[in-house]
Amino acid sequence: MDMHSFRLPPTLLKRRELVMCGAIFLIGCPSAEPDPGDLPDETPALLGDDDDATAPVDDDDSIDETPENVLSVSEMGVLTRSPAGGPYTTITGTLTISELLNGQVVGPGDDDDDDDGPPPTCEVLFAVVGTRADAEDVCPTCDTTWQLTFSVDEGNPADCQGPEQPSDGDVRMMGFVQAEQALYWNYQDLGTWVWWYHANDQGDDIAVSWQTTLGIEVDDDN
Amino acid sequence: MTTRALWGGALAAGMLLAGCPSEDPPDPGRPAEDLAPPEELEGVDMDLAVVEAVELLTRTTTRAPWAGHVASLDRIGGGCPTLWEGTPSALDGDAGDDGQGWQDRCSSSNTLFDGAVGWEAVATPEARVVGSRNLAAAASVTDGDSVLFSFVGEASDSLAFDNEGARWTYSSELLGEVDGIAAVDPDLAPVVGFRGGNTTTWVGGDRWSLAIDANVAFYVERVAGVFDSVDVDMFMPGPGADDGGCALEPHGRVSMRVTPGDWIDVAFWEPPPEGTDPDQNSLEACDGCGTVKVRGVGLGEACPDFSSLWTAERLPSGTLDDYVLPLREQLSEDP
Repeated sequence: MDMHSFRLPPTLLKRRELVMCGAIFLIGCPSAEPDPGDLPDETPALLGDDDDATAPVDDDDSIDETPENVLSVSEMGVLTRSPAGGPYTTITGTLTISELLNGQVVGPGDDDDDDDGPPPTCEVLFAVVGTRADAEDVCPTCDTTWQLTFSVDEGNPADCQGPEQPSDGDVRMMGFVQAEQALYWNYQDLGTWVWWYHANDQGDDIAVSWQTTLGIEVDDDN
Repeated sequence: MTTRALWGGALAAGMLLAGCPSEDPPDPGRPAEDLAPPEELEGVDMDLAVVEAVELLTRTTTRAPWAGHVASLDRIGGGCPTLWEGTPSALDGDAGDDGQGWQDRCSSSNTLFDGAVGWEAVATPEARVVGSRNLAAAASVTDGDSVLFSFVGEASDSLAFDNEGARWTYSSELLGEVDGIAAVDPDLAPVVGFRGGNTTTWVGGDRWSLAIDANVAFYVERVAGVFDSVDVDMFMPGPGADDGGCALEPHGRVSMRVTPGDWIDVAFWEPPPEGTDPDQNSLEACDGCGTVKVRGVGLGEACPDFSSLWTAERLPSGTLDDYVLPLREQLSEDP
């Protein structure tokens, strides 16, 4: 590959004027102009010069550490396995999703809601029924896997804004891991099992829960 | 004509210049030294440099900042950073309809989160496209003095399979500044920080090709030890691909900048405009070699061998898991 290497002859290194003349000759003696059209920009078009690039609206000293709007989300429920004492073949129960914008959500079962706080911006009650999954669908690291169907009993799921909540009629494969006291979801039926709920089992019941707060942009129209 | 032969010609031409009209200088406005090739090119194997430049660009795709982003999410804890449903307010861009984000300046253990990141990952197992990802950020995540992940810009990519899974297509668009020890392509050798734009479409499997339109400056890496930036607009047909009229060399141009600022162009064959005679319009022959120029002055040829790109080991791997990024557990607060 040496034939395509650039190696400046020592004599030329010391006689750059000769190189210059040779270059001129090669492109046409005596004064052909190098084609500027072949040259890329001297300075690459970098982000700092591009108005289309995403960047904070303000200087980096003005990042809002506290979101202007905070969404509190609570998902809680109790699922009861049957027949009592096992081996379990079916499961039934409820799941309540509650959300509150810019306030502390009060989940179902909390008796200290003294009507002082604002009402939830969304509250949906799901009925949940399920059966044990076939062997081919089971979560490989779970103790039991259930095929759960979520049906809306009260409320409108479209009012809720939390991430990846069930809709009316949703069927989800979920696996219970007793050692972790957790329920996993076969995420979007992709075969990837991801943590989804705290799941505390007591007797035949499994209490599921998940709570979080999230920054959120709110349209001024709302 | 080889480079060495060209240098010989240049020397001879220099000798002959005595016959040129002295009253007609080549360019009165330009110092004579500017037409000499940069000394930094001495010893550079341009065949290898062109391949190295293109190979380096294949490592500066969306996969690099995405990997840094995912690694930084493992450091979330104690409510730091504040997570968002949708795109954080500090970002102009839109991470997507199902996007998530973080925005904060806070510390979790020894990890400092500073800025805002929005992202979306969509896996589509039923469709030809395995998945797609968007990432928009103006943020850094540091661990002590070590930058784990830093990205200012936007990036997106997708992975698709076709022809009953025999052919994959990886597409990526990135514009921004990427840095950090975790912001490296998970499959390929790391690149230590870069900035610029890179649009890449890489096809492999039962047919191969690589299309790159990029202008990237590297913080540390130097192509062939001397080039700090690469500006490429090329399509390289590989085995089994429609060669578009020339299978022997890239279609387009590869330019590289030596650190003092000179750009070295390697012009390859280009397809003729539609309706024109293909034998008359390409300035470069389809012979496997491109013309090396500095400031438009030809210096020789580069005949790169891109066969190293057409191997399974070079493929950007991809599974559904790469396009699944729920933060459910990290988001959870004790009930």
